[in-house]
Amino acid sequence: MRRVGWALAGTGLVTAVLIAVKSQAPAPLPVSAAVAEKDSVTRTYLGAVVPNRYGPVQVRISVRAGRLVDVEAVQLPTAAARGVEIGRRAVPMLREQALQRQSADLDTVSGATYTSDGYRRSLQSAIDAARAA
Amino acid sequence: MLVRPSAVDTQRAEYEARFRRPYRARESVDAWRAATIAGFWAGLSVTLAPWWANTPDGFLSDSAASLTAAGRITGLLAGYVLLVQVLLMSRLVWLERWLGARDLLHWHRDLGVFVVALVVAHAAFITLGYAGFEQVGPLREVARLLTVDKYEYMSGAFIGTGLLVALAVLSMPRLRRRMSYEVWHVLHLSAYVVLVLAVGHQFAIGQEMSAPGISRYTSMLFWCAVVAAVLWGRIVAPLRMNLRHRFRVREIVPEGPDMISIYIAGRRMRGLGVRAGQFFRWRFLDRHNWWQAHPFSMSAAPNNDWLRLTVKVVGDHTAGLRDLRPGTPVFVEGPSGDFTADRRRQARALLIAGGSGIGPVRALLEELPPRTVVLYRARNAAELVLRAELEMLAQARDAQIWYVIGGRDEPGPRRAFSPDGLLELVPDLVRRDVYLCGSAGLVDASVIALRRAGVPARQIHLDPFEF
Repeated sequence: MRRVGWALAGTGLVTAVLIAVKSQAPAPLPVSAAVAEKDSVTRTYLGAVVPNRYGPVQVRISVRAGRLVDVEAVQLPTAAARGVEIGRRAVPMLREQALQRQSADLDTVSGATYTSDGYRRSLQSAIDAARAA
Repeated sequence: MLVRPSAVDTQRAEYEARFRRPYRARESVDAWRAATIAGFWAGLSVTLAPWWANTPDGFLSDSAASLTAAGRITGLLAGYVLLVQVLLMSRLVWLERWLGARDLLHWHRDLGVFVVALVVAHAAFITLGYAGFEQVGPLREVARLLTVDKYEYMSGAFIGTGLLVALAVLSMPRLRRRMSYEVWHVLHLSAYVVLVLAVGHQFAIGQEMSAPGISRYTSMLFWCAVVAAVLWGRIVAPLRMNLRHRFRVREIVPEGPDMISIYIAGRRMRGLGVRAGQFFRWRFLDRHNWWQAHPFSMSAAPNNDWLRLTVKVVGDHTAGLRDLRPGTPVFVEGPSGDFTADRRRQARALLIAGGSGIGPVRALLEELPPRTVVLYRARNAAELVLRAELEMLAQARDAQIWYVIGGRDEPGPRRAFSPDGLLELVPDLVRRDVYLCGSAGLVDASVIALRRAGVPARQIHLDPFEF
């Protein structure tokens, strides 16, 4: 019985450590082509990781001459075969909206509430980062 | 032909010839044992690899995400340990050889508590985490999981958790002692149902297992391997052995007050790979006994003609064996156990037997090297069974037998089973392997005395049953 106690204590400790490690902010990713201050240069900004129950959502935007030219989903929920499918279906629609509206004010894709919501929030944080830069 | 202990005098020469056979060579499984245990821990950490790979840095910034992560970690571990639990009880011969029969039981018992804690933690953390994402209360979230989200196999997972907790409660010694072994065993077999109920939600909606990928396929492979091991160890292997050997009761011989020996013969006995000190689960297929399997050690080293078990026929568990008839078919599972001569670490051995524990000890004596010492304890001289046989065996194999007669608290036995008393009887005690078989009281007291006298724990071998 004492062995069980140790095993449980060890598991709790390891779990806590793993979670603590994973909650550290990531090391800054090298932003490509950040050298020249010319308008013709495309710069990328990484949005925040937005968790939901199916997994993380994170986007990276490309900005050229003050315009949003591309949105790329870096992280999408991997949970539940169903969730992945929904994400795959929803992401192109969300990207289309974002490029059209040039903002993070997007409509929710039906059936993909979590992905839409995470996408919106990550996109907003990326746009904020681009404005601040 | 059948050699009966009651007829030994007339067959002394034949007996001595048989008893003078070579002893069994030593064999170490330490490396296998270490590898098995290392494999278990390695598997446990590999289980977490997909979670680690799929969780980006900085992802767990809020409490809902952290709780969900704790739920995923405990869930992955629980799934793995649950499979290990089933594997441990699959009666695969190698596993028992590498880990040891007694350790196998202890691992199963300890991991049982561990897995129940993991499953409960998994359910609690996931519910709390999801509730955090939804910003609802935990009870509301449970209702949501089952009704709104309608996750596939989620109701199965809930039922499985309930069953597992119920099983854990029933396995607590205080409750278990109130049940007969058969009732408890049948209840415990419902653990397989838990396994089936649990697997659905793992592969349908598990974060790391539902998406196609290496972790999904590795988990499925492990799952299939465990199912195959159970089918082989519990069904195919026993059926094969019984079809090959077709065991039958050959003769019943009274040995003493309430003690009988059952001789069992079969076909092709020469090919039965079995060592002295091992046990079988015997199921006597007559009207009164078919429904229970008795785990009993053999009370003589295996030979080419018969197997023998010597049992005490008191209490409702074994009383039915008194009326066994020769010719009754026997379904046999085994052999199991590593209470065998090849596990010794020293050149010489000491055997300690109490009451009916003499059976496996008597068998072991036949495969141990010369100058073995036997300590045989009984309440009175009439309860010493197999005595003529033991003495002849001792003579043929140059062994020494000490009978310790009397109740546990009488001065004689107390002295004999104290550290000083043991050293007096067996001065080179610490350089011997000690094999113990008897009532729990005798075994526990002896182990304490042996350890005090300086016998290393690895030289103490206990018989695998815990009555």
